[in-house]
Amino acid sequence: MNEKHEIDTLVSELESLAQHDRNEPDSGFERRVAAAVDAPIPAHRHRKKKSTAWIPFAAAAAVGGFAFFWWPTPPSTPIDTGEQVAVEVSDASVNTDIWLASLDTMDQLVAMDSAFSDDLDHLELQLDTAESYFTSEMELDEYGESL
Amino acid sequence: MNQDGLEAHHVGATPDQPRSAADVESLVFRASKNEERAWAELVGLYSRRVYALARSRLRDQHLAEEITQAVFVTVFQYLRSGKYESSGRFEPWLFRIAMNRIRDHIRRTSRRPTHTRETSSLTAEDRPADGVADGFERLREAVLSLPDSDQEIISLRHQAGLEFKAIAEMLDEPVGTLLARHHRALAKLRKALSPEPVHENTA
Repeated sequence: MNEKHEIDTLVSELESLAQHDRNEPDSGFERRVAAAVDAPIPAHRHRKKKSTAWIPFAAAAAVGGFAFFWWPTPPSTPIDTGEQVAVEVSDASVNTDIWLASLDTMDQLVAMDSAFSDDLDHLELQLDTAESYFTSEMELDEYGESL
Repeated sequence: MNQDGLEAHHVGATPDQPRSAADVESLVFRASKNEERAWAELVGLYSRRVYALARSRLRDQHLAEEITQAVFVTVFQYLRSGKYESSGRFEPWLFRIAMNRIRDHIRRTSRRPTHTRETSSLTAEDRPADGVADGFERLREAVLSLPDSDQEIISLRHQAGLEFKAIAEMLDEPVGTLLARHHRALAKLRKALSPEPVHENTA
């Protein structure tokens, strides 16, 4: 048997198989296919369903939002933690300190107010007394550290 | 293969012989206008060819009918929505939908479960004893042993009964290429059906 004849035979067999397959369904096949468009289409078994994972998160967010706006606020009690907190210093106060720290300013104050001058003399006397109290610079240093 | 049995079983001209493209387009137009008779005629004209295509590729009767129904539901929805443009290419369009459905199923399952199921669930007593059925089964097995591209061209040409021109439109390939592919696929099929194993010269 030559190749062409074998191929022709094979084609004939394939056509027979096709005809067999087309005749395989029963007589109601066409009616079922035609009616399938009217039937509610079930979700395909492999089709992905819409995810519902967002529902718990959305519910939690809604509860959280409700609690945030509607939960009674507890009375606030100030707690002294003993910690120092830096406070803002006004520019005017800083400028005054700078002005007082100036030697020229000090001279002006001394010249203007005799009482202030007396106070400075008294303060200088105390410092001289304290210096004479300590016998050595070492003791003065130790005393200063203790302060 | 029992050739006598197959030829004895061969049915002559099918009632669903393709009509002219103009006739088909007329049917399609009428079906798109909710004419039930036209829709029934369209289903009668093509449903068994779609079924045979799905049957040959999936080896499952129920699945083949399910896919056929799904294909026609898709066609119906397109026609009703007015998305289908009448261009005399209804047949390639219909079978492209069918092939896409079948490919999707094969891709999802990544195997041929129906083939395995059919061959494994049938005992020797259950299998058809007559030579015709045996011949068909042997032919099916041989087709399934071919590469997917060869199976596809054989199924489209013989099971779906498409002309090469329609297949070329479907697959977007030149007719000459498809003819060559078909010829090679038949040669492989003939080899697969050959009763004598091929002995290679190992000397």
